[in-house]
Amino acid sequence: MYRKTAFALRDAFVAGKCTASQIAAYFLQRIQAFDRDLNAFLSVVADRVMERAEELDIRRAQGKPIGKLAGIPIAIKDNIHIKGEITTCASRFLSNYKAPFNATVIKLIEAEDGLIIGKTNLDEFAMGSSTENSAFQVTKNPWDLTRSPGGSSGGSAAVVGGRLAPLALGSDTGGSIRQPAAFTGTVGFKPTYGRVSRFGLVAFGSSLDQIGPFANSVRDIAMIMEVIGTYCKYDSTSLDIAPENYSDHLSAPLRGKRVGVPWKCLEDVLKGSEYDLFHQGLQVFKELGAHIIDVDLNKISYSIPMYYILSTAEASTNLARFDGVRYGKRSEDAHVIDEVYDLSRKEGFGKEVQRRIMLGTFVLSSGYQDAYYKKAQKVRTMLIREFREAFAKCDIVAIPTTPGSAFTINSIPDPLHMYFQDLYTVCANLAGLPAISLPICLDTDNLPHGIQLLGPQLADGRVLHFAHQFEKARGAHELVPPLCDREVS
Amino acid sequence: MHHAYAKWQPIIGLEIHIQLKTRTKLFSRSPNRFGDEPNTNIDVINTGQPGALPVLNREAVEKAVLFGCAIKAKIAPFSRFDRKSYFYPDSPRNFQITQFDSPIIIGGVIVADVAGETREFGVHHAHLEDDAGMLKHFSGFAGVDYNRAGVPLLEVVSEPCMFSAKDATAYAMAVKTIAQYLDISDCNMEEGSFRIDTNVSVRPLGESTFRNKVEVKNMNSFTNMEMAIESEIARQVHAYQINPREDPKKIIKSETVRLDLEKKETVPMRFKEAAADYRYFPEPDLPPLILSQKFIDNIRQDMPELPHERFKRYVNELKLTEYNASILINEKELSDYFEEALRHCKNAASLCNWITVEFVGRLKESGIPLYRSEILAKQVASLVNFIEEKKITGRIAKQVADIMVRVQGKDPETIIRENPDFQPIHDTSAIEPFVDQALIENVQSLKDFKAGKDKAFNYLVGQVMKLSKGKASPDIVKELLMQKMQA
Amino acid sequence: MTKLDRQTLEDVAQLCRINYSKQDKESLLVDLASILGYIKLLDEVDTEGIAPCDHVLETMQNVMRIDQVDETLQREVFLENSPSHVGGMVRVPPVIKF
Repeated sequence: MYRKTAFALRDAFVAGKCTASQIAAYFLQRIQAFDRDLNAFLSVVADRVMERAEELDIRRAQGKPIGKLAGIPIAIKDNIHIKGEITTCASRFLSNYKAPFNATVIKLIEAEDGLIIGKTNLDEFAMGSSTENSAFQVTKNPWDLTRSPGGSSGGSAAVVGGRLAPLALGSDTGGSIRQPAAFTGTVGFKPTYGRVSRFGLVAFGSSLDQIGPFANSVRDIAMIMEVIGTYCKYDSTSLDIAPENYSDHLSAPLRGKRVGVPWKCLEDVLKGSEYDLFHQGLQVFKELGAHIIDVDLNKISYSIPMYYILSTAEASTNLARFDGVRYGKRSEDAHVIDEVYDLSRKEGFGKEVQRRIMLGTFVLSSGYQDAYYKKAQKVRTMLIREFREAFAKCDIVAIPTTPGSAFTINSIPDPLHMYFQDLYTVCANLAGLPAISLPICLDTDNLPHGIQLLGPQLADGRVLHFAHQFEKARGAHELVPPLCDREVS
Repeated sequence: MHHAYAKWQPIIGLEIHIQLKTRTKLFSRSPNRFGDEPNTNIDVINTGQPGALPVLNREAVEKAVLFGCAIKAKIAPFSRFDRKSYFYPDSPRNFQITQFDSPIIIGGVIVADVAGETREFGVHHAHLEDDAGMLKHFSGFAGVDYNRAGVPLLEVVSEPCMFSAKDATAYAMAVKTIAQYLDISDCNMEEGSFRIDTNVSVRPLGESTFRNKVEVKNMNSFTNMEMAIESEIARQVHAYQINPREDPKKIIKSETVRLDLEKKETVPMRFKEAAADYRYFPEPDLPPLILSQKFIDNIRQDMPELPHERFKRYVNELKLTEYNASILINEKELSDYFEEALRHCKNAASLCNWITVEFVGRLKESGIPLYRSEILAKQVASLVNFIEEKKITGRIAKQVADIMVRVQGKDPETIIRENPDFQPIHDTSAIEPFVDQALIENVQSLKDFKAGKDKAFNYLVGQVMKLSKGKASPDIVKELLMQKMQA
Repeated sequence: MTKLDRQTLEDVAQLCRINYSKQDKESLLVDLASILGYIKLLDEVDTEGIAPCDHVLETMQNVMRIDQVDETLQREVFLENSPSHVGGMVRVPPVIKF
């Protein structure tokens, strides 16, 4: 059953070939078997999922209408609120925080009978590219337990990669869905900014964040996007357009379509095997009849500085609310109000979070704001313009997802070095573009590699279309990590 | 006060925070209400829960635009919100959402009369921002109530264009009445829905640069504000006067003071820190406001009559005195009551007197204003009409008014009908005996009148009125008296 | 762009209430200096006449809602997460008046 796509699982459920309770129990067993090695889950809501599965079974038996995600277990990154459950954001600060409301995406998923199975590990407050910054546990890559699954949505990526659930939600501010997808051989999609509601997502970089799905096939991504990609009145940056039908627009051939590649900004960085693998990916498009053309996206080279100014600036204010006053862990040693702030934040936040808050505060501070924050916002305008011009010449842009494959845990202690993981992914967040990472193949170390496709704003359907055609031709999505490639009794 | 500082020019600016009376808060859909139990009007947004997002209240924007139109300001074609960062327990997010860079209202004029002269005071701008919660101090701890956190505020910032405490009061009173007339706020200073901070500096007459200004915060009444401003002016002038050779910037530093009600003077709170670094930057969770002319025009067309316009109408058309007109204007509900009564009665001056003096006076002790009592405006109008039509005398009217206050809701017609003592006497033959009696009892007055003293006539009229218990028609009394005295 | 010195670091830490131990201070200084050094790269870009990007979706504007009460938060639920509360209020140590 673990090899089934979410789409196929739902079909099986609807056809009566298996019950929702069976499906839920099956995946709970897999979690029990493999998660002690993977450490992908922070909490598993076994009772909740079994209850809802049973209720769903009763409804199906009664012939009542059932939802688009019926019977599908879904893991949720632990920075997205489920009402009544703890949302930790993988931080000591929120280790006891009970979410007082449901994120919009949760409401939408449960309204379509999705079975939420647990909360997954992440880098603390979504800050990181390896899931090593979690205050609680380090998640391992199912392809190689000595390696990172990427971050910050490493938990969700490992879950779907290891087939502990067919679908998962992550969040992507600078690549936090796509990079882990590339590392775990899964499909990870970041929608157009504003396509999916951020209400109930603990904010990191408000103008960059998007919630998005992990799956093992593009069709599954399309299915869940049709549910969560809709207008939300609780989010002022939510696109006021109707949900789109992606599933019906995946099959048209790509003959004559144009795939843009920004060769100039890749030439210095893309070397050796990475270069070869990327070319293999492009070859697939050529064989499908698409044309590869050169596009000018030079500002991508400035992505990292832009991102680390803008995201940290926004984060420094978004995380100011964690002060030990209204919720979260208040330091026991605080006797005056200043200590409540200083000690609670010192005890509650990990090093990377502290570093980014400091950086973000600095770039906004008086005397520096023009040179840093405003400068970065201007270069951002130029990047958006460049993409607009590029998309006048091509339908989709293809670039690698990551500069390399999954690195070993603890091998990148230098923060700046770690930031370079985001080299190719950040530009999509800066420009608000829909972007997907999908597996090309395994390399000689038996590690997955991904290719990334970007579309213009609002062209989520187009990105999924191209991705689906690539996947059909390539077949890499059927690869399962050997560790998890067995049934558990 | 002024002659002592004839050589010094005080310069005053006001920052007024007006709480808008919307149903819900500025960015949160929780109720906007005063006085409820702590933390009972909250939601995930106004308590700064992680994952919560702001959504702008249209009603607040409309009220702000209405105010802008009323003061003939420019409604900014582009405005947006900014985050203002600072840590304080009453702040649910440790940043306020305000408008620093591009406020919604630019410029504007407040017209107000000061000492009989019509003045125009400049407004620099007005912007929207959300209020903080309330911090309550106890012994050994403090408690935070977030009910107020997120309430919409319209902050109106004046130009530094006021030169005396009276200017400031006139300006502030005008802003308050405009806001009340537009029905955008309760403007209740005790409840905190109208808060004034003032900046005061002084300079020698003729000096063109501004000297350091001192901020006086949160005065809770107009009287206290005047006291605070005058105290601060005096303090600053005195400080400059006794240090004639020192650098002015060192004598009066930029600081914050408060009014000490016992000492009746301003005392320092603390040195104003080098402007705290609020790190303003555009609020990423809120798209900008690009209001169309149509949107603005739609709001402008609903503008009611403004206080100054009404004041001019009262003085120019209704011929009320400026004093009486301002008494009515400054309390909108009273003025509205007057307008209602005016629909039934033409004598504006008399109506004004009966409303502002006679009835208000009688109700003073009860503490309930006339417009909240059970006495209908129409009934007051009736009373005035009776006097006009000479159906009752002024004296009787006062007694009727007493009863109207005692038995609220009872109309004067019924009161008069029920009380025979109030029926006016028009019958000449009934009045004649009183006239005769008065003449007999006041022989000296008759002699005085014949000797040319006209005052004696009025005295005799009064005597006849007294004898008739005020019921005799004054015109008939005068006629009869004149007849008999000339006989 | 500027170098990060110890005083600036302390000022920034004061503003954002990040307290670090003495050992951490040195490594933080090094890390931040190296990050800021890399960010310098942006100086290369000529941004003369370019407007800052305030909103990534340029067409989004005038997002407003009607003035109506919606889901509120029950006080008990709110206070359940608070480290300390009294009389329905969140309790904090004494605060000097602002």
